[in-house]
This record gives sequence, structure tokens and C-alpha cells, in this order.
Amino acid sequence: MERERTYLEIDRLRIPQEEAEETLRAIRRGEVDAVVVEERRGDAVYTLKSPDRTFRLMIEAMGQGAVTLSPEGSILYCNRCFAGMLKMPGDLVVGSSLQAFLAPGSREPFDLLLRKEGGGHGEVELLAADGMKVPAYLALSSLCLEEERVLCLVVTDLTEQRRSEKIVAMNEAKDRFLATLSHELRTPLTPVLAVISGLEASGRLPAELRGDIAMVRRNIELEARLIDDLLDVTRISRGKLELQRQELELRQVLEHAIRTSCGEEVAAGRLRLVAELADGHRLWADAPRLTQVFWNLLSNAVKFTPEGGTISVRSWTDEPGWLAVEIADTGIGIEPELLPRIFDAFEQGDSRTATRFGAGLGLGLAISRAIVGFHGGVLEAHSDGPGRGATFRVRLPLTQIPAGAETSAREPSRPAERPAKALRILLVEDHVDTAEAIAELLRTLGHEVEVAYDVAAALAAAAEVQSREPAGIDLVVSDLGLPDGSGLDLMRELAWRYSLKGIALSGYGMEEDLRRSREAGFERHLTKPVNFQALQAVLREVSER
Amino acid sequence: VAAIANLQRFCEEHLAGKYHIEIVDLVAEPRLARTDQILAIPTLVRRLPEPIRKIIGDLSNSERVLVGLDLRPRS
Repeated sequence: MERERTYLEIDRLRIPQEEAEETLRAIRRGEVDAVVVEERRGDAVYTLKSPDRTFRLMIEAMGQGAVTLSPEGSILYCNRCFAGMLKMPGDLVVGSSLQAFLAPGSREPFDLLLRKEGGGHGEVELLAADGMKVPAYLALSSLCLEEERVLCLVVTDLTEQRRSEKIVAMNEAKDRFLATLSHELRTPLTPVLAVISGLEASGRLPAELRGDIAMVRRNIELEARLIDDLLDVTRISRGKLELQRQELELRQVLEHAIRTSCGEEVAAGRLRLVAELADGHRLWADAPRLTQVFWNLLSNAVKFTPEGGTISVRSWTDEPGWLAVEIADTGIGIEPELLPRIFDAFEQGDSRTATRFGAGLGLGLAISRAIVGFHGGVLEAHSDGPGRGATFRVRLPLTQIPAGAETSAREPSRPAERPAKALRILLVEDHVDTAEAIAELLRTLGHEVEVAYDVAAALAAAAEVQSREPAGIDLVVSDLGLPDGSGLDLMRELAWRYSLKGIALSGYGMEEDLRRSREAGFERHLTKPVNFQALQAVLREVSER
Repeated sequence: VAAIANLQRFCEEHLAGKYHIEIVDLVAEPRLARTDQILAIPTLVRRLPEPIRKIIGDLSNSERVLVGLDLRPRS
């Protein structure tokens, strides 16, 4: 009986005690707005809106974690954001030791931070209630309170930042990989192209082999173009495609693209070509890039049009200030649902089309649309459906040609008509086959060539020639990646010692690479596989300056 | 105000149709605080069923409210 009364008594007392605890908890959590106080005049309500209320609210609303700690690391207070990082209710966090919420590897660094006089900062991994690790930046400082030492900790969640850093790093790794890949893929093409171009230029080829050799060269050039496409896609996705604008006649660009893309099919009677090209369309544009667009569109037309079909190319003034080029074929056409996707990189109809027509990487249309876009124009596709042909229309604004602009009505890559002045050339290239092939070609052109396979040999050869010949070396042609150093350093050295001029040969053709070779003193930067007409043109240009 | 919103949402979820809420503004009438021995504002007072129970704060932790109102056994 007595015992039962005691139990009841205890139970009756339990409720007020719980209420008192509850009140303290609520005050500590900042949930209480006011307290009621008994006074002689009667009860009065005192709000807790003290002058620092704004700061309290700010700390609660902060997007960063705010924590106060005892010198041993016990959590005295934390704001909502910090509890949110740990995915725990705040009142469970308060009272615990901060070490309990750190990943094992972070505990020791945090202890060091705690003991540091005057505070400090560092990165740790928090351990959330769901077991996830949260990377965080901690800034610890000492609070000057009269009665006790309290530490103030600001915690920044680094999850988002880590994610974007990772994406940036992955993108950079991808670009580097693509640059290296294209370099590796291009290197073996260089000597082959050199030998073949040399053979074709020499006139020593028996007539019955000329067709075969031309076929081999065309395919290697195609291979090089595919590699270039890969690089172009990286440039476009990074917004780093740079246009080299010049004044040009659109008709010439179109005729050149037609000749190189479908000239043979038309000559052999496999396809019919109808061209209605307007005259007098002068543009301020990048000629090789526009040629690339029309070449891509025409090559697609050839690829997707069965024998006996017709390809038509028209150009006209569309509306004032705009011109239009239309390339239409009578080929296999495009499924309506595929039309919106054909300009996406790596998209190419369905797999059946791809296998039937021996497809490439499907990058051409994506690159073409981007190039037209960079010129301020639009590229659109139209098709009435499978089997009913396809039409691609390019619309370009007739841009103002800047006054005093360099006019270049020169056809792209026309074989050199006049030989360059004979030069004494120092050729530095570690790939023996490539070195031999280029040297042979340069000699055919009437130049005198010294070959070196690395930096040391190049410096020795330069010193030897400079002392032997009064005129010295006219030009350095150098690879950039050499076994004992970089072609960039070699060029700097040669330019400084003998004031030599140079041309860089490199598999790396990103804008960054071009800039670096200019800085090292190279006048020109040619990307491998070297187009020999381009090399000749550059030789002439450099020697005449 | 946050407490009122939380309470209404909470009652709709757990006690639909079986509750009655009376809101007392103690700033306007501090005398009323004495009847329920209220110390802090906001306080939720459960009058029925007996015994009277109080929950202090903005009621943002619904788990705590459930336990406090004896709608869920304490762990």
C-alpha cells in the first residue's frame, strides 16, 4: 500500500520534471519566443527577442554549419545546417563529442586542430547518420567569453565542390587523352603521306600505279580527317574553336568541296550532279572550316545515295543580308523521328544504316552545325522520310568585310606552282621513318637538309653548320616531343644563340599547343600528318620574309 | 506561428476530426498563463485526456510531439 503510494507520487513528480527538461531543451534549440514570469503586480511576459535575435536567426539560417565546442570538443550548440549535414536531429547532436561524427581518418587531424593555439582550419570527413562520408572544411576559432573558453567552429560542406572539381578533372583528362590519342594516331600517318606525296610529285610513278597510289593517299587523308574530327568535337564542346576569317568567294569554296567529295563518283558516272551556284557571294569567313562543312554534307550525300542517284547543290541570296546553300540528294532519306537527333555527336541513323554504309563516327554533322553556328548561320535538315532523299540547307549572314582585310582568293591547297628558294634546313625529328621521308621530300624540292634525331644532336649540328657556312641555317623544322627534351626549349635556344627561324611539327594541334609554340619562337605550327602542300607554302612564306 | 502551423498539419495527419485547438495569446493576456502553469511560449497544452501534458517549442520534431502526446509509446 505504502509502496503503491510512493509509485504514484513518483509518477506525479515525473511529469513536472520532464516539463522542466523540455522547457530547457526548447530554449536551447531557440524554439521559445517568450517566457512568463511571476511578478508581484501579476504575471508578465518577457519575449526572448533580444538585440542579438537577428544574429541568432542568421546563424540558424546560415548555409554553413555553425557549432560551439568546449575545449575538449563537446558540442555545446549547433545550427540546423550542421545537424542537416549529419542527417540527425539537432538535439541529438548537442552534448555529443564532435569526434564521434568524424570519419576515423579525420579524428587525429581534428585533435591537432583543437589543440592549436588561436584556432586554425582544415579539411575533414564527417560521418553522417546514414554512414555517408561528407567532405567538409572546418574553420576553428576561440570565442572570448568571460566565464569559460568556448570554441567556435564553422563547417562548410564540400560535397558539391568536390563533385564539380571531379567533373572538371575528368573533362581535362578526357581532353588530354584525346590530344594524346590523336597524336599517337597521327604519327604513323606522317611518313606514309610524305612518301606518297613525294612519289606523286616526283613524276617517277608508272602510269598503272598512279590510281592505286592516289587511292592510298586519299584514304590516309580521310583517316587524318577522322582524327581531326575527334579533336574538333573536343574544341567545340569547350567553346575553343577559333575561326581564321578571311575574305572569300563562296562559289570557290563550294566548287572545291564538290571536287574533293564527289568528283570521282560523278566522273565515273555513278552519280549525277546538278550545280546551280550563284556568283558574287563574298564572305568574311574561315575558308577551310566552311569547306569542311560543305565537304561533310556532300560526303554524306554521296554515302547515302545509291548508284544512279542525283546530288544537287544550289546557292542563292535568300533574303537581304543572307545567303543560302542547299545540298539535296535522292538517297535513303531520314526517319522523321531521327531528324531532330542527327546533329548530336555520335548519332548516326540506326545501326542498320551504319553497317550498310560503312559509317564513320557520326561527328561530321555535329561539327558542321557548330561551324555554321560560329559564323552566325544556321544548318537545317529536311527529309520526306525513308527512301525519299534528304536536303540540308546552310544559311549564312553576308557579313561586312573589314576594311583593309587581307584578301585571299587563293584556292585551298593548290599544288605549289613555283618552287621555294633553296634553303639550308635543320630537320629535327625523332621518328626515323618520318625524318627520312620529310628530308627526302625537302631535298626533292631543292633544299639542303641536315637531320638530327634529338635536342643534343640538333644543337651540335647547328653549331657545326653555323661555324662552317657563312650564311648559316635558314630554317629549323622541328618536332616538339624529342627523346632528350622538348622542341620548344630547343627552339628558344637556337633563336637566342643564332636568331634562327623555325617551323614546329606536332601531333598536338590544340589552340594551347599553337600558342606555346609561338611563344617559344616558332613562326608556324604544322599539325601532323603534315600536309606537304601546306609545308611548301609555309617554307616559301618564311623564306621570303 | 510556426508552432500553430506545425500543430495543425500534425493533427490533420494523426488525429483527423478528433481534435479541438484553442489558441491563447499570452502576450495579450498574461494572466491566463497561471491557470496552466505555463513558463515558456509557445507551449502546447493537452487538456484531454487527463493528465494534462505540455510540449514546449515550435513542434518541428513530430516524433517528439507524438511521444509527448502519448500517441506513441516512449522508447
